[in-house]
Amino acid sequence: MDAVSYPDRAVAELIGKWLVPLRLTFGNPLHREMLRGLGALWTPTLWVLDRNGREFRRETGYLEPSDLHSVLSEGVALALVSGGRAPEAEQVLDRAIGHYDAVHGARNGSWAASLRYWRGAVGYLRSGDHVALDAWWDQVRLIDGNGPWARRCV
Amino acid sequence: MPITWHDDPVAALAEATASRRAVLVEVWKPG
Repeated sequence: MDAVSYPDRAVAELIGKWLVPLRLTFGNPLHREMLRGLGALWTPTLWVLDRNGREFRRETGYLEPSDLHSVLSEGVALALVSGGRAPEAEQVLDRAIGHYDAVHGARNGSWAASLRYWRGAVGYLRSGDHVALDAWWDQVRLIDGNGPWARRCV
Repeated sequence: MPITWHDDPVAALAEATASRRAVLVEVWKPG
């Protein structure tokens, strides 16, 4: 992650704009309480928390740059929505979808569906617009077929 | 652009509050 994913320009820009990075270490007594609170079991694991320490995203294992960008974007967007900043959350997800499509080809790759799932959800939370939600989730169904993200679009 | 990681949870949350950002936490096992 340090050698490839975090130095990636898109990842670094996302972190620089939206996130404060905190690295916790097993065995550090100053980190013990937070590690216990997060339920940390395995490395690497990352979380996106809001400024109150509430968890919005968790992922375990190595993530290549575009995957990391997607995970962090989803976490940031959900934290923004929770803070009443849905328009900014939509912008974060729009950029993430564009970036992911540019790397993997339009509507391909494992995160293409989840980003659109959350984009639909975040837009709906702001607007209450069922038609817009269905449009995003139609894309999820198209991408994911009968996969886990398509199946939850009901 | 290298990332500067905090190692103080209290300071990281305080900076997140001041800058209206979220917090990225990564758990690391040295060695």
